[in-house]
Amino acid sequence: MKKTAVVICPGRGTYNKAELGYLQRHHANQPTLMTKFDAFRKTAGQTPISTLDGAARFSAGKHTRGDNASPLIYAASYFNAQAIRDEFDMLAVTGNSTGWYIALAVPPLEGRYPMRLPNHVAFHTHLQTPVAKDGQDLLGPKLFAMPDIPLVGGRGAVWSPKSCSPDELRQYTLGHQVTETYDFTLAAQTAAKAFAPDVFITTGPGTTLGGAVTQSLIELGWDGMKNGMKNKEDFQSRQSANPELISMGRDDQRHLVAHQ
Amino acid sequence: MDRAAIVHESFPRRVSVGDLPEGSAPLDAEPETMMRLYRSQCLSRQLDRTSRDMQKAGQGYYTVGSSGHEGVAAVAEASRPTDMAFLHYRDAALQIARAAQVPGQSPAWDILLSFAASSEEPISGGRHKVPGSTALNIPPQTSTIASHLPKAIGAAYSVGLARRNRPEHAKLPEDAIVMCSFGDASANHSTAQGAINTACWTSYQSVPLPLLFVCEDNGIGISTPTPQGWIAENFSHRPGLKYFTCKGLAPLPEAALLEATKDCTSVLIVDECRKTGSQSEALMALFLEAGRQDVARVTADDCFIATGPAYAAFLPSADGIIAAVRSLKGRKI
Repeated sequence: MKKTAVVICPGRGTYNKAELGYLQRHHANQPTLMTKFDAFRKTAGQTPISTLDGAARFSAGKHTRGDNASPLIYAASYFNAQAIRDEFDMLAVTGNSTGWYIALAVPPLEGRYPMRLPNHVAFHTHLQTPVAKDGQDLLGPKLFAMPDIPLVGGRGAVWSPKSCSPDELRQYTLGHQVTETYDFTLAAQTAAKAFAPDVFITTGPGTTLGGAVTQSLIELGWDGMKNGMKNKEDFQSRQSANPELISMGRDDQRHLVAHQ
Repeated sequence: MDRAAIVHESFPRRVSVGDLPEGSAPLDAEPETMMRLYRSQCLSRQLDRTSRDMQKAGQGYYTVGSSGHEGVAAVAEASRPTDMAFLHYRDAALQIARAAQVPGQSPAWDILLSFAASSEEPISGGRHKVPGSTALNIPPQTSTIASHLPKAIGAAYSVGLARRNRPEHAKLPEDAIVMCSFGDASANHSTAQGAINTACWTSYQSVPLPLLFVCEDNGIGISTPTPQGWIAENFSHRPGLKYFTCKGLAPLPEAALLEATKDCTSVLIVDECRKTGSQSEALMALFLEAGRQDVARVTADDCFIATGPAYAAFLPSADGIIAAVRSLKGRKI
């Protein structure tokens, strides 16, 4: 029987020095899509993603700027999610902030690139109201489709295939999602409670979500976590016996779920 | 084999060969709506089966099946999560369907906790297997002896009172209705009879009582058959109580409606419900698709069936109906 998985996509700030070259290292087998992404960037007068990823050295000024960081993270996470082996039955996708945009694109292979938040500022607050407005003006209904697998957003709402409204998905994504608190804990806990997967897979880049997901599951009392564990070492020994949280941004865990 | 397993196994078998009950699909429901209801119904049924498995495995201590009551999910679709619901104890499907309307809910998890009599179960702390949720406005009820009907009437009465004198900590919106479901056998309890009488007595005097009773009439009370037509005969002519039947398998008697109007020059539908999502939408579609051009409708401004002075503000007015008739006739002349 296939193992079941909930896939969790990371937010901004996850493509850092250690991640430079991440796409080259892990996704050299995606040339077509990468070319497409790059072409799109060039048309918009922006540095191609492969150039950013393949830079000789990491530049905070360049790589963490919103209009570069978002597509880097988007591409890395998206390619990661595509690389999950077929032996996993993907039950649902959720994400943190930027990860929500990636979740929207998993698993359909194309169509919604790029969605970026223009400034790395007060995300998920009312200060973003003008940005939400811009998004609503620029990103039309055609960019939003019925999801193929359930999505769990930052209010803990589950968007299920064939039974939700792409228009409402758009309204949420370009409205509440931008201007109100993004409750990642609730999203992770709702995904766990609704889908009860065998494993939680966090995509790269980076490994920042592992702790947040673990804490969310501990608070939930997931599968004996509340009573059975007292500290990080307990969690690590539990993980080494039977990994339930797999971080694709970690070289020692990636092979557990990804194509070689 | 237990009853739930028998019901479960006959379902995919009958669906796969198209062995379905008589009836037509509802005309006014979007495919997404039907899929949403179906999803809730499947979860309700699957929880029934799981509760029995848990019991066999020594993990569950309480089973209350909802099989056969899945249709009540449609009432969740027709109401809002802010419409307080006092539920029949088998109405898991309504709670599940309502949970889908409020972000962050996890009905499967919560109901599984109730089977396990877990202290973490959010509504009864593991003391009881009962529908209920604060976020979904479903007060936990022991409904087998109809003790929840008087409470539903009190809640509905409070909605009207709160319109006149808004309390500081009011929870329900001003246009809320209260919904209360019960079985056909429970309707015979003196508690139910007294409550329904109170509702009629109140409504008859034009005191606001926005209350929807849903009698889930399966024709049997535990093992005692309910006499044929007993519920309809009892409640279809009560003062102050508007009675209507819903049958999920045949939402509109289409053929009969077309037959009854075939000799009419034109058809005016007067719908005391709101414009969108109401029966008149389905009726318009039915007539137009049957090739009739001379069809019009007037509707209320809201789905709230008002009483007292509010009546005139919400429901179709005599003048409005006359104007619509004139307009229809004008088209003909």
